[in-house]
Amino acid sequence: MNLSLSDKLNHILESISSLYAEGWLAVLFIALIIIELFLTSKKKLVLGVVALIGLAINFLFIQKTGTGNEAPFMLGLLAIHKSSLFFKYLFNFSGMVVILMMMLSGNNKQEDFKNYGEFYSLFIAIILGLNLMAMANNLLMVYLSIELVSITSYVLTVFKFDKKGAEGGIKYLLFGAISSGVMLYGMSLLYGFSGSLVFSEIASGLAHIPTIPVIIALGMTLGGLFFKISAAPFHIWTPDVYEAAPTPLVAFFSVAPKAAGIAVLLTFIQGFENFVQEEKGIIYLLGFVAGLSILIGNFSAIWQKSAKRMLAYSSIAHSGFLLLAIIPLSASGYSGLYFYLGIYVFMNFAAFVFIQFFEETSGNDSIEKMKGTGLSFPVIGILVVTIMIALTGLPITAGFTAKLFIFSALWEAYQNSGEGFMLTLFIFGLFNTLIALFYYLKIPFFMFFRPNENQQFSIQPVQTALLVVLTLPLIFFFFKPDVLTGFLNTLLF
Amino acid sequence: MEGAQTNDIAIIATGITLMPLFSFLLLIFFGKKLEKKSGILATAVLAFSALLSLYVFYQVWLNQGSTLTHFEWFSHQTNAFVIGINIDKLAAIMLVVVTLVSGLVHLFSLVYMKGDKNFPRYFAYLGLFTFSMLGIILTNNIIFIYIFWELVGVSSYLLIGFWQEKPAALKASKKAFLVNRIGDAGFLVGILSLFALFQNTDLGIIASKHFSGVYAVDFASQYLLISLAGMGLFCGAIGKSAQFPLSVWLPDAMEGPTPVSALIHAATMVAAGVYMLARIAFIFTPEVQIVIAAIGTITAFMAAYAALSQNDIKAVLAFSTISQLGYMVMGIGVGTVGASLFHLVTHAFFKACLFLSAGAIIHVMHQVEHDTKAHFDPQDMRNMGGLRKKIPVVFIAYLFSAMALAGLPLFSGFLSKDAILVGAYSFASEYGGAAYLIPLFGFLSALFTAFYVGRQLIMVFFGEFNLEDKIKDAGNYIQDISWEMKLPLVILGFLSIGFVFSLNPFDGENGWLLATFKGNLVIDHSQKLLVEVISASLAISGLGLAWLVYGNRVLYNLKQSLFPKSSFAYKLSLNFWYMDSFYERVLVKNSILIAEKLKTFDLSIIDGIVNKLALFNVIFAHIIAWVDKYIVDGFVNFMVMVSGKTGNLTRSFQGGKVQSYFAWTLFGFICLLIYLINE
Repeated sequence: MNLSLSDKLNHILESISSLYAEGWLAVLFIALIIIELFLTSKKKLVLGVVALIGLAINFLFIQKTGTGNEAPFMLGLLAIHKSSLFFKYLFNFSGMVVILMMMLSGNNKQEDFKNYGEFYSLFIAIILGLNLMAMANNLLMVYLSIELVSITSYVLTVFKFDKKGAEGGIKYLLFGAISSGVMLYGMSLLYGFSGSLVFSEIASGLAHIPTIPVIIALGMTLGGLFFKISAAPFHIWTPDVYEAAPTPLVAFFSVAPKAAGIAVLLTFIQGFENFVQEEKGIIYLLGFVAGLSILIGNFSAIWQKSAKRMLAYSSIAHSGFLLLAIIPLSASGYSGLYFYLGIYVFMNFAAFVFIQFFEETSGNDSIEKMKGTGLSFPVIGILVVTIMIALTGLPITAGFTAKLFIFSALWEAYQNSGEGFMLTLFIFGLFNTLIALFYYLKIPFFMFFRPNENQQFSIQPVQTALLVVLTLPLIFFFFKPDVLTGFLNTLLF
Repeated sequence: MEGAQTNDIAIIATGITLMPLFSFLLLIFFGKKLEKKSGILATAVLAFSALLSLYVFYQVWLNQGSTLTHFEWFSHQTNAFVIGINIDKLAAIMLVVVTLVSGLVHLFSLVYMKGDKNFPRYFAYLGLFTFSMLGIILTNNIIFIYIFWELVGVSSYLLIGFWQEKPAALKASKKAFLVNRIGDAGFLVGILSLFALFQNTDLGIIASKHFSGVYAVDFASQYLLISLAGMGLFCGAIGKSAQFPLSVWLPDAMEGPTPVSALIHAATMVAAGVYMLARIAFIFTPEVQIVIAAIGTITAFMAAYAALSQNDIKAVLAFSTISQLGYMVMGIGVGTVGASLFHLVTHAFFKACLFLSAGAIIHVMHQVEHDTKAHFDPQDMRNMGGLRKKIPVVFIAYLFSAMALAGLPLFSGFLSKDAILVGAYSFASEYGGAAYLIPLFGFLSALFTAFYVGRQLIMVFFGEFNLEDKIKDAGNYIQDISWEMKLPLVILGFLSIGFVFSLNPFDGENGWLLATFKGNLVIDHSQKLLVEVISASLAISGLGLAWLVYGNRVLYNLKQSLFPKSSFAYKLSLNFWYMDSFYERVLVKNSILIAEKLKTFDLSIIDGIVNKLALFNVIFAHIIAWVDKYIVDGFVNFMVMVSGKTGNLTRSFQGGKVQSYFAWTLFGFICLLIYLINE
C-alpha cells in the first residue's frame, strides 16, 4: 500500500466507521476509571451498573458495524470477517454475565475484588482486546491484541490479593511470556519467508518456500494461540490460574479468550486454506493437539477434588473438541464449531455460577463439600445435573447436540477423504466423551447420594434465577436446535 | 369470511378439548378443598363443552364448516412437521359423542359416587380421560394421536384401579395396562413404518403422498412397508379395542366404577381403535384387510358366545362390547368404513345407556344390601328379577337400548349392524369361498346377541324378585333412583331409537349419518334386502328363544340337558374360551421361567464381564497413575533438580515449578514438530 500521507489519514478516518463498538469500549474504559475517582469505597457497585449498561449499549454498536464484507481497513490491520460479528456478540454477552456474577456475589467484604474499581475498567479492556482479536487481519495485530488480552488477564488474576493469587498471576505471566516468545519467533520466520504481515499476502508469499520450514514457522505461531485456548501442551498454566483467580473471571477466562483464540485460529486457517489443504502437516498438528488436550484434560480431571480445578481440566478437554471441529475444514464443521461455542458459553457459565455461589457460602469449592446439597435444594440440584449432563454431552441437553454436530462433521470428512486419521480422532473423541461422564457426574453424585453433613450452603433467589436463565437454553436448544442454528446462519453466512 | 369462521371453529374445538384438562388440573390440585363442589364443577364444565360441541357439530354438518388448521411443530432439514387440528364431519360427530356421553356420565356419577372418599379425584381422572380422548379425535398427526392414545390408556388404568382397596381392581388395572402395551408396541412399529415411507407423520400429507404414489423408499420395500404399517397400526387397535387375541383385559376392567365402564370401556376409549383404523383405512392392503376382517369376525363370535352364560350383569355387557367392537373391526376389514363408524356412534349411545342402567341397578341393589344388612353379590343377575315395576324409567331405557343392541328393526343398532353385515356379505360374494365364513359368523353372532340380550332383560326385569327367596321382603327396600341418574338414561335411551339416525327405519343407508360416511360405496340392493331379512329374523328369533328358555321356561329343561353346567360348551363360554388360563399357563409361566434363567445369566455372565471390565479399568488407571507418578512427575522432578542447582528464583514459585512447566511444554511441542517434519 503505497499511499500518500493524506490518503492514509483519510483511510483511517473512514475506517473508524467500522470501529464503533471498539471505540465505545475504549470510552467505557476511560469513563469507568474517571467515575471510580469520585466514588467512596462503599459505592463501587455503581461501576458494575455502569459497565453492565455500557455493555448492553455495545450490542447496538456491534450490530451497527457488523457486516462480514472481509474488506480490510485500518491499513490492512483489521478486517471484519464473516465470524467477527458472532464472536463480538459472544464476548459482549460473556462480559455481561461476568459483571452480573460479580454484582450478585454474596461476598461484600472490604477487601473483596469487586470493590476495586480498576477491576471493571480492566475487564472492559479485555473485551476490547478480544474484539480486536476477532478482527485481526495482520500478524502484528494478532500479537498486539493477544498481548492486550493477556496482560490485562495477568493483572486481573491477582485481584484476590492473596498469596495464591499472586503466585497464579506470576505463573500466568511467565507462561504467557514464553508462549508469546514462541509465537513471535514463528511470526518473524513467516515475515522473513514472505516479506509481509497480512495473512493473504503471507499465503501467496510462501508459495516458493520449502514446506518444512513453513510448517515449523506456522506451528510456532499457532503455539501462542494454543496457549490462549489452553490446549495441550500449552495448557499447564490453566489449573493454577483457575484456582487462583476470582471465580467470575475464571468463568470468563474459560470462555471468552478461548473463543477469541479460536477466532484467530479460524482466520489463520482460512487465510492459509490452500496451503493447509495441500500440506496436511498443519491438520495433523491440530489433530494431535486436539487429541492430546482431550486426553490430558479428561484424565487429569478425574482425580481433581476442587471443582474449579476439575473445570479447568474440563475446559482443556473442551478446547480439544473445539479443535476437532476445525479439522474437517468443511462448512458443517465450522457451523458445528459455532454451535458448540454458543452452547459452551451457557454451560460453562452456568457451572461456574453454581461454583461461585457455593464457594461463597461454604468457604471452598471442594466437590466433597457438596454432599447432600441436591437433597436440601432440589431446584439447584436439578439445574446442576442438567449442566453436568450438558458438559458431558448427553441428551436431553444441547451439549449433546453440539457434540453430535462436531462428530458428524468429522465422520463426513472421513467419508469424503477416507483418511484413517479422521476416523481415529472420531473414535478417540467418542471414547473420551464416555470418560468425561466419570468426573462430571461426580458433582451430582455427591449432591444426591451422599448424606448432608452440617450444611452451610445457601443461595438467594436472584442467584437461582441467574442459574435458571443460563441453564434453560441448554434444554431448549436440544429440542429446538434450529433456533440457534438459524440465528448463527443469519450472523455468519 | 369463510376462513375466519372456520378458524373460529378450530379455536372453539381447541377450547372444548382443553376444558376437561382444566377441570382435571383444578381438581387434582384443589379437589380436597372443593370436596362435593368438585363433582358439580366438573359436570358443569363438561356440560358446557358438550353444548359447544353441539354448536361445532351444527356448523360443520349444516354450514359446511369443515376445517383443517395446521401449525408447525418443528422442522428438520427440509421436512416440516406439522400438527393439524382436523375438524371434519367425522370429528365433529365424535366430539358430540364423547362430550355428550362424558357429560351424562359425569351427571350420573354425582349420585353414583356420592360419599366416596376420593370423590374429587374420580372427577379429575374423568376430566383427564375426556381431554385425551378429544385429543385423539382432533389431532391429525399420528405421533400426537399416539401420545393421546397413551394418555387415555393411563386414565383408563387410573380409573380401573380407582378403588385401590380392592385387590381385584388393582390387578385388573395392571392387566389392562400391560396387555395394551403389547398392542401399542405394534402401533409404534406402524408409526415408524409410516414415517419411513413418507418421511412425515401428518395424516393429510401421508394420504396425499400415498394416493399420488410418492414414497421415500425404493420400489422393492414399498409394499412390505405399507403392509407392515397397516399391520402395526392394526395391532394398536387390537389392544385398545380388545380384539382377539388381546381381548382378555376388557372383562377384568369391569372392576372399575360402572359409570367409568360406560364411558371408557364401552362408548369411547375402546372405540378409539376403530376410529383410528377408519382414519388410516386408506393404507390397508388387501391382505391386511382380510386379516382385519378375520380378527373382527373371530372376536365378534367368541365374545358373543362368551356372553351367553355370564351371570354378572356387567360381564354380559363387557363381552357384548367386545363382540360389537368385533363387528366394527370386521366392517373396516370388509371395506365398509362408513358402516363401522355408524355402528361406533350408535353403539356408543346404546351401550353407554346399557352400562348406566346396569349402574343404576347395581346402585339400587347396593342400597338393598346396605338396608337389609345382608350379604349378596349386587351384580349377580340371579339375585334380580321383576325390577321393571320398581324402577320403570331404568326399565324403559334399558329396553330401548337392549333392543338396539339386539338389532331389532326400528332401533339404531339394526341400521348400523345391518350396514356392516351388508358390507360383509358383498365382500364375501366378491371373494367367494372361505370369505363366506365372515358373514356367516356375523349372522351367528347376531343370533347370540339377541339371545343374551333377551336373557339378561328377562333375568333382571321380568319374573319375580329372586332375592326374596333369600331375604324376606327384600323387594320392599328397593327405592327409585334420583333425577340425576334418570336424565342420562332417558337421553341415551332416546338416542337408541332408529328414527334419530334415519327416517326410514329399514334403510340406514340414506339416513343423514351413513349417507355422509359411506362415500361412493355402491350397495347391491337385492343383497341388502336379503341381509336385512335374515338379520331381522335372527334378532327376533334370538329374543324369542330367550323368552322360551328364560321367560316362560318352556325350553329351559331342554337347554339344561343340552348344555349342563358340566358340559364343555358351557364352560368354554363361561371362561371366555379359556384365553386367560391359556395365557397364564403358556405365556406368563414361561416368561417367568425365562426371566429367571436370564437373571442367572445376567448375574453370572453379564455382571461378570462388567466387573472384569471395571477391574481392567482400575488396573489401567493404576498404570496411568504410575506413569504419571514416575515418568511424568519424574521428569518434572528431574527438571526441578536441575533448576534447583542453577538456583534462581527457585523457592518463590512452588519449588520452581514454573520452569518445569516451560520445559515440559516446549519439550512436548518440539516433539510434535519433529514428528510432523519427519512425516
